[in-house]
Amino acid sequence: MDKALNKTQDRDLIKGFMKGNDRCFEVLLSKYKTKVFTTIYLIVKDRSIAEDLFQEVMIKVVRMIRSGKYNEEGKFLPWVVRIARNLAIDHFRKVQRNPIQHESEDYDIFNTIPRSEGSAEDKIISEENTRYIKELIQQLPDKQREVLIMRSYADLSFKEIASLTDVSINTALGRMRYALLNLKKLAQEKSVPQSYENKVQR
Amino acid sequence: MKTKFNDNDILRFLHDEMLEEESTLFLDALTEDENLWERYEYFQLTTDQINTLSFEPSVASVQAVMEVVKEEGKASKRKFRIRKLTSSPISVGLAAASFLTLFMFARLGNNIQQAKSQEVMLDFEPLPVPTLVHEVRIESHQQTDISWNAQDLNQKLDQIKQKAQSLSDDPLL
Repeated sequence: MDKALNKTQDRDLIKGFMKGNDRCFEVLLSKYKTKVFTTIYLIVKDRSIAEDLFQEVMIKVVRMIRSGKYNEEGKFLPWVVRIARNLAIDHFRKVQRNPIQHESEDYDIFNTIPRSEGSAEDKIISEENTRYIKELIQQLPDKQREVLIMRSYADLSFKEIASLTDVSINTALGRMRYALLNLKKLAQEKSVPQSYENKVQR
Repeated sequence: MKTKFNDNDILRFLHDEMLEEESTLFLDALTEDENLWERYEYFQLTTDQINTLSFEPSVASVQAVMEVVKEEGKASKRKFRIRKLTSSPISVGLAAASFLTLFMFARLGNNIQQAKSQEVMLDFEPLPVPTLVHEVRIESHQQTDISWNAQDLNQKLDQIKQKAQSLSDDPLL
């Protein structure tokens, strides 16, 4: 990928894409795919649904940019996350009407996560922690989980989250605070992996 | 500016959402307030742990998106070209000129057709029977020379000249 393109600001990348340079969108996609996908996955809690929604979101983003519906004043990622959130809500509405089965245990999300370099033991601990944190987050109440995901993975400010979820900044901050405190409570209720326990209780 | 900080302030500080002046005061408070430090440490560690979590979409998903980008890009480029071509003043002028040229050719063709049919009409006026001038017959080969009366030929020539004049006066020719 072009190094020069990587350094270009999102606004310029979007302008380039609107002029017909597909490479510009490729840069945006590689820059934000992890954050967008993590956000979607933690909202819908199902890998295959998250994959479908991710594609749906990004294709919608492409079409909206091409049709000139992207507002340059806003930031790109919060805009994409807003679209992702709306599509996830639509998905939940559909699921409520037509319930589907959850993903099978055979399909493991962690098989696709790029692993950091290190010893085999480090990898096992890292995998265990990742699985553990994911499980804890997924047990949080919906509103708290939503704020935590948007702040930690989608990089939305508390002000942006407040605007998106139609609450005050203090409410958004309060939900984040409760989310973090509840993680501790949930961790104490479950058997905590050694490495995580050491870090939190230090 | 406040000097008492709560959990919401800790979160704003952790996520770089505090103004510089407020951050300085917060750091001062952290060094003095043991309870605030403990809470800060908990939120920081938990936030760090959460931030380690990241999931990648599959390569197939990313490729599928890029396929759509490229396919729709080609289609929109074609549309754009057509739109650009039909919307520029030059192309509108060119189209008008082409239409006018076609119209002129059509009229010209029509006039020529009319002129030709008139000429054909003229040609149908029979000349008097030519006079046999000479005839040679050598075995299988036969050569016959014939000749028209000079007056008849001059008359015919005048008619042709008049017709040619009328055609050359036509502004469309």
